[in-house]
Amino acid sequence: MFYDYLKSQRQKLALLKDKIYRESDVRRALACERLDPHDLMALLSPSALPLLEEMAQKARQLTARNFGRTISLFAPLYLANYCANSCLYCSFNCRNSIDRRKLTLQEVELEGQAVADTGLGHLLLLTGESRQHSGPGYIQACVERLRPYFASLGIEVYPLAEEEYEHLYEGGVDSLTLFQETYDEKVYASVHPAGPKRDYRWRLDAPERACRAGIPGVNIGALLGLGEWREDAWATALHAQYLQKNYPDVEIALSVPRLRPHVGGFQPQASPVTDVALVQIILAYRLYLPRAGITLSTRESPHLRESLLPLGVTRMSAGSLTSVGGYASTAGSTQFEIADERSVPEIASMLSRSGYQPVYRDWINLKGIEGSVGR
Amino acid sequence: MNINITVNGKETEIQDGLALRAWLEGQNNFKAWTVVEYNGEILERELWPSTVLHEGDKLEVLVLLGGG
Amino acid sequence: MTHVNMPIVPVEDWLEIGGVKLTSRLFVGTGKFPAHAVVPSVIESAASQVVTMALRRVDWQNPQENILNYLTDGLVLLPNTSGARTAEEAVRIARLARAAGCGDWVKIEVIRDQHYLLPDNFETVIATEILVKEGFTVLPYVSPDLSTARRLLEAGAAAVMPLGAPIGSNRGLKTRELIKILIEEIPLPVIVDAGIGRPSEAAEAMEMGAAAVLVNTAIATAENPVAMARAFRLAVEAGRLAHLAGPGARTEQAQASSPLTGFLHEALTVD
Repeated sequence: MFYDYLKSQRQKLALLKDKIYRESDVRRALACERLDPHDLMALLSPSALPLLEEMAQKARQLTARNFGRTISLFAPLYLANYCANSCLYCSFNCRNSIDRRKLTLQEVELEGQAVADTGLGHLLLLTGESRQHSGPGYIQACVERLRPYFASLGIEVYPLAEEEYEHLYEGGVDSLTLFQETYDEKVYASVHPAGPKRDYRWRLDAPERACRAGIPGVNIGALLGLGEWREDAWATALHAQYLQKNYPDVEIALSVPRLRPHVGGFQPQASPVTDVALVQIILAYRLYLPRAGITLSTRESPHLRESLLPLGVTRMSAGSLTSVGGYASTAGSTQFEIADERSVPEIASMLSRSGYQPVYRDWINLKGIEGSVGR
Repeated sequence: MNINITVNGKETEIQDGLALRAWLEGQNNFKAWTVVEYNGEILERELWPSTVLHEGDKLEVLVLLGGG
Repeated sequence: MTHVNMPIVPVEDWLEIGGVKLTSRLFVGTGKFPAHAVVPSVIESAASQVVTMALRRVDWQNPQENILNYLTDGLVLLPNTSGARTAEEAVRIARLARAAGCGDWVKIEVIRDQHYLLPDNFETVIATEILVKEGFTVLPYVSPDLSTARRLLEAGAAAVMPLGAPIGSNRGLKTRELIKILIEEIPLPVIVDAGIGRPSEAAEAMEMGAAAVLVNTAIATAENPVAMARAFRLAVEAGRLAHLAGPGARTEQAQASSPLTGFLHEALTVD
């Protein structure tokens, strides 16, 4: 399992604990075709800052070679915000008094229709962690309702068991998004003081369970800014590579969410993730994992999102709402504030202007569709 | 009296009642033979002297040579 | 600023296969030599620890001698299954080779194509599955194909031996890109077998990260096989050392402007 792998890699790195990564290490990493965990550390080190432009040039080339000039679009749909956790950084924290809501299946269908009307074929379903209010059965029922409207359905929900992932896969879920938040176990424990999410390993191994269950796409990430970002970015990229190696039939992608303002006003201990740091992380991810997708959410501002485009991004959310409902009905409380409020057509024309083709539907998943030729 | 056996895919006439080892000793390159398959089964070297050949037996007599 | 105290050769650089720790990364084949008698000096000159051989039907007409009589104790014997056209035949030959005193190692070679002598990967996977279960240390000879290599890994192969070019062609690393992929993706020793015609090509394979190379024709058909064996040994060592040393950075032209990251500086002035 990845837990042991990460531990062994950290030990290897610790053998060189006095190692200071110099510009020459970064240059070496830039010259290599295949990078090792040390090269990755060099790319994330302060010594890489003078070489960001060189890294960006290579990242752009690699991205264009592996993905072409296309950006895949998706929209999130929040199904429910009941939550049993008390993540210090999240508005859905069960101790926050916000409107708690869960969409009925009929509402789910209406919301889905509204998103589908924008032309988007990729939908990401989200819930808070509440097996009572939004259990796997409920998620499964939502998937069934939405299946006819979308080419691809992803889930971003609490960690499930392998069998539960299997059921959802059979029902038509083709991707899993799950963020470890932080790979630093101490920080993890401190920002998750209560609730089922306290179980670090259950969450850490969930992407692997999804891979085993046959889900064809898995998107991982750290919530950048919770722990020390260099460490977390390093561990995230190693995690992605571990999954790529062990589950070569699964498409692995990375997200780069940064802490955003939200209800509760949590201030992390770790150093903040500046725009420069975010760029460095995206570039390091791309150079280390040339074939991994990189997802950018509406947490970032329009200007920044456009500037980050050529650096390695392959997927973006568009016209997003982080409230439960809101596409077809009145919105409730949001999980975090979004910075890019542009509509789907606005995002699409921005992409075209920048020389990218917006992709509304990438492929057609045949699972869960009646009478399909799928097995 | 003679019987027919197949050696390395070739029909061969031999004297009846001979043991495998005795027959092999009468052939060329005796020292080189390293392994014998007798009717599809590998025959341990220790069994060569006591294995009497019968009509229709199939033998593969093999040698280890240079190879890449 | 360079690491003055770095050891030139890493303290331990074993190649471990089937529980055996090898220091030599040059495997040699014993076929195609003018006489078996040359083989011992070739092996000595190559400093090889793994040697291949073949099982053949005895030739009643011409004198033959067991190649094992020419090999010193302590060498790992790697019989091949040449002549096998199916998995079943390869399994049969492997069992015979073991009975002939070759130990548990076997190089699976299943060839149905007599024109290019390219291996049948499908039959090779089947033979590997069977022989691993019977306790063999299996080194399959294959066309470099990632899916095949993954199946061999699952089946329990001890290494993967992709061809650089058709057997005996001495054409070098024609399959370079595919072998690179195997080296990157397969957590087994990748041993380049077949096609290596010159020491420089062996060095290149080792620089790429191959675990070892198997050379036969290029040594056996050289004017002076013993000298060529030594040349290969040096080349394999040089290539291995280069691989361990890591490549140097290419100097890239300095970027006068920052077209992709310039926005960061704008952001700084705005703050």
